[in-house]
Order: sequence, then C-alpha cells, then structure tokens
Amino acid sequence: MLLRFDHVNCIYDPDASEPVHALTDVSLSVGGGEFVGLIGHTGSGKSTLVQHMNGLLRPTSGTVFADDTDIWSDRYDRKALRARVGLVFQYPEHQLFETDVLADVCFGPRNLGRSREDAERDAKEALSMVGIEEALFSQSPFDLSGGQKRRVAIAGVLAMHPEILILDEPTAGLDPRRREEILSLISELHETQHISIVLVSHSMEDVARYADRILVMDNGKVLYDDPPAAVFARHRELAAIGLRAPEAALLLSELSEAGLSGFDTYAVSAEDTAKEILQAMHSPQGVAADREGAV
Amino acid sequence: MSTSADSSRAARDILDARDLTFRYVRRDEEGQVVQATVALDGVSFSIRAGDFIAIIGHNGSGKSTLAKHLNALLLPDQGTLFVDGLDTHDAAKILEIRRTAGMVFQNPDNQIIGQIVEEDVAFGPENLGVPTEKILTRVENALSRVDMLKKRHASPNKLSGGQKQRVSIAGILAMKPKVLILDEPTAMLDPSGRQEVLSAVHALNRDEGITAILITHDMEEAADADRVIVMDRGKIAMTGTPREIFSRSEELATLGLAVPFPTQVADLLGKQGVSLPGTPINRQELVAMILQTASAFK
Repeated sequence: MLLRFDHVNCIYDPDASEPVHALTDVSLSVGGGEFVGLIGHTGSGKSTLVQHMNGLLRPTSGTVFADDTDIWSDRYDRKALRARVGLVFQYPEHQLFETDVLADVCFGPRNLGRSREDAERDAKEALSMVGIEEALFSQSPFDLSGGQKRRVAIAGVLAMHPEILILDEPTAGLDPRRREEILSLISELHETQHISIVLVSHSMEDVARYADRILVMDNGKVLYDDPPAAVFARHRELAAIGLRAPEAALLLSELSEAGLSGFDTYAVSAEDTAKEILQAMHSPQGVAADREGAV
Repeated sequence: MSTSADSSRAARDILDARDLTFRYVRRDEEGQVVQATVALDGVSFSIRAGDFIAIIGHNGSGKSTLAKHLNALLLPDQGTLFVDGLDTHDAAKILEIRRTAGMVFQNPDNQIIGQIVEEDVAFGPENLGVPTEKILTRVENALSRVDMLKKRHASPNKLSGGQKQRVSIAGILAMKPKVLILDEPTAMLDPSGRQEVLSAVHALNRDEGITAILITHDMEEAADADRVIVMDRGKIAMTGTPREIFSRSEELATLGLAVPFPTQVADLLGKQGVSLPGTPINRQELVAMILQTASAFK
C-alpha cells in the first residue's frame, strides 16, 4: 500500500485572526514496504501529518491518496483505511482500558466487525509478535510494567493487520534497554511481517539505524526527504531547527574539521564510527591532512 | 541565626542516608500482604552541599524510590535520612524538609496547576505562608533565574515542554530550596527543550551552589555531574566521578547500562590497539585525544 500526499495544507482555525498553518504544501509518499523516519521538534507538525495519513484529519486543501484513491472522496471507506494504516499514538499505554490484556487487544478487530473467535485469534497472534507471553493474557493491563504496557498497546493496532504502521514517539520515557526492545521489535515487524513503518521521533539516533529514508519537518513543512546519510550531512541546519544529528555524525565531522580526514561521515553505531576513525588514522592522507591541519 | 556549627554541617553533608530500606507492599481486601517488593535494600550515602549528583540505573533499580525519600515523599521502613540535618522520620519537620529539598518530575503536564505562569510559581510560597508582598519578589526572582520572566503572564498550556519544566523548577526555587531533585526531567522533551532545562539546572548549581540530584537515563547528562551513583536492584552498585564510573564499561553493561557514545568509541579503538591517553567522557575530550594520538603516528 502506498500513501501519497499531494500539496496538502492543514490550517487549524482558518477563521481565527491568527490561523495556525500546521501543514504547508506537503507532498510526499510513505508505504510500499519502506521504513521511514519522521523527525521534527515538538510543534513542527509531525503529529498533524500522521493524523492525515489515516484520515483522522482532513486536509484544508490538497489530496491524500491511498493507492491512487482520494481518501476523502465520497463513499471511500475510511474505517477500513484506519485498519490498514495503524496509528500508535504517543504514550499509547494511557489508552489501555479493558479488564484484561487479551480483551484490550481484541477491541480493534472487534470494532472492525470481526467475530469474537477471529478477533481473539488476531489478538493472540499480535501479542505473540510483540513478545507478550500467554500467562499475561488474563492480567489487568494496568498491572504490567511500562515496557509491557506499551507492547500491548502496539499489539492492539497490529491485531487489525495494518499494512502501514505509524508509531508516534514509541520510545518516549523508556529506559535505554526498553527503548532498544521496542526499536528492535519494530524493525522485526518490518522485516518479518513486511509492514511499512513510519517512525516518528525527535531522536535521530532512534531512526538512524533502521530508516531507509528520513523526512524532516519544520514549521509545518517537509524540509528534507532524503536517505539518512544525506540528512545527517546537514547537522548544522538540523541544529538550527532544534534537532541533533546522531552523535557519530557530530564526532566525525568535528574530527574532519580538525584535519583528520578520509572517512565517509555516515556511520551511526559506535562500531562503525571506530572503524572509520581507525581507517582515517592509518591512512596516509588522514595523517598528512592532520599534519597540515596542525601547522 | 545560623551558628558556626550549623554552617559547618551544611558544608559537610546536605543529604545523609544510612541504611535505607523500603518495600512496596500490596495487600488484598482483608489487608493481608499479597506481594512485597524490596525497592531499597540498605542504601547509605552522603552528599556534600553544592554537589551535582547523577543517579543512574535501569527501570526498577530503585532510583525514583530513592529520589522520593530525599524530600520525605516516602519514608524508609528502616534506616534514616537526614536532609540538611533534619530527620525525615520527624513529622514535625516535613514542611521544612520539603522546602529544603524540592522535586521536579518527569511529566511537565502533571505538575503545573496555575492558570498563568506566575500564579503557578506563587503556589509554593503561598502554601508556606510567605507574606503576600514578599511573594511577588520571590516569583519574579525565581522566574528570572530560569530565564522565564518574560513568560510570567503566559498560560502554561502555551509553553513548550522545556519551558514548562523551567516553570516547574521556578516553582521550587520560589521556596528557596537548598537541594533540587529532578526525576528524569528531560525524558519527555525534544533536544532543544532538554538543553534548556539542563543549562538552567547547571547554572543554579554552579552560580548559586544549589545541590542538584539528577535522575537520568541519559549517560551524556550523567557525564556532566560531579559524581554518579549507580543503582541496581535497590542497592548502590557503584559510585564515583563520571570518569571513574564510565571507565568501567563492562561492569556497567552487566547492570544493563551503557557508557556515553564517545566512551564507547574509545573502548572500541582501544580493543583495536589504539590506546588513547585516558577515558574520554564527552565528544570534546575524545576529539582531542584522537588528534593527539593521530599526530603521534607520524
């Protein structure tokens, strides 16, 4: 499934004296099996953008196409769209409400009109995808740990079999270990279930390792829509709009400004960064450049 | 009013914990204990006035429970905690303890109650019975110290996350605390909001000598502290300067914690035979050490 935005504008309160342009002339596409990172500081328009992706918000002007059909055309089934384009909100655990875990995850598929058995089957499948053991199915979702709650909330969306999964800040407020768990879970869903991913975050590090493409939003506009390497190369522009390039990109660019050259500056992991540095230190150009730089 | 004995005590230890033990207990309807979890298990430490302390540890290690003891939101089942010489077990001293050690929580939206910024900041001193005419000065003073004075008439809803956290800090400053306890104050903020809050806290610590206790998951934040306390399963697993702590990366890994990114890179370079002249704990240090080593290759 492919979602395509064609010159989409969103204006909150168009009649007010100071209308808010939440989205300005946004054209882009997501889906098609890709893993896309969506980055921007608070208030840049990320959340507004994703709510247009599954038809929760209607553009003030412009068109959102799902596989070439305008999702706001007459008789378009937006309820079905919301199952196909699953949206996991920020702090999704705040939306858990049922008496037990299984019932909570069944809510989505039941709401789509699936039978109780089908819904339970979908829910169990989704729970196993996110690594929640059967022993927990009959527990109250409120008794789970923070990381478990979040995985149950993600299962609630997965149980509807989305083709595109959008996650708004899925790692916010988690400790490093649980952040890693959630990110590798998302990557696994992408690889094994072939679900397209839109990962919304203000952390470059989070998206850097997995995304095929990064969309950078600022002030309601799409500023960059490029592969990660091209985006990180603009670390100064990113800093100017309140974002931080990954630590690796900052480190390598500082080293190259200081005269140590000879690496491509797109490493993300500590391992790749160390490799780049070793290579530059041992390369004749690297040392020569350093010598010149030092003079 | 302060005697010389008082001031020497303040210069020594502002927080002094001896063998703190705390259990979370769940009971059924009859009041029978169903489950008891030991959250703090014999924790002892002391903190000098004016220090900047980072407490790290994975979720469930006991850091937040410990933080809540530091201003008597929780009382230890066993052991004692002195806040500026006041025993938190002493019910008569609770208000004074909370005025001495103020706490900022993770979620800025759960701790702002005023309709406008200055009202929110005035809440604390009003509650303490500070005379009205003095409150205004305190509020202005507190807001200017976190660079939020120009937003004094704003509605908190209109503020960014970083601004809301700074208002929360101002609310505590208005009570003239000696200790600021911050429980993951940046976890919900974007990079610029995070920077705003950290700079404000560091300035208060550096310029005014307010003791800062920062609970964090972010190792880069911990690297800027004077001293780091590592919690694991309710106990203090390690304590030392950031450099001492982060040069023990393998031990930290067994506790589910990583070292800052520049330290990781330095460790990996070391395994490849490039030994740097020390353990860098931030990017500036690593860059300097690499350049120094690289020029030695000539």
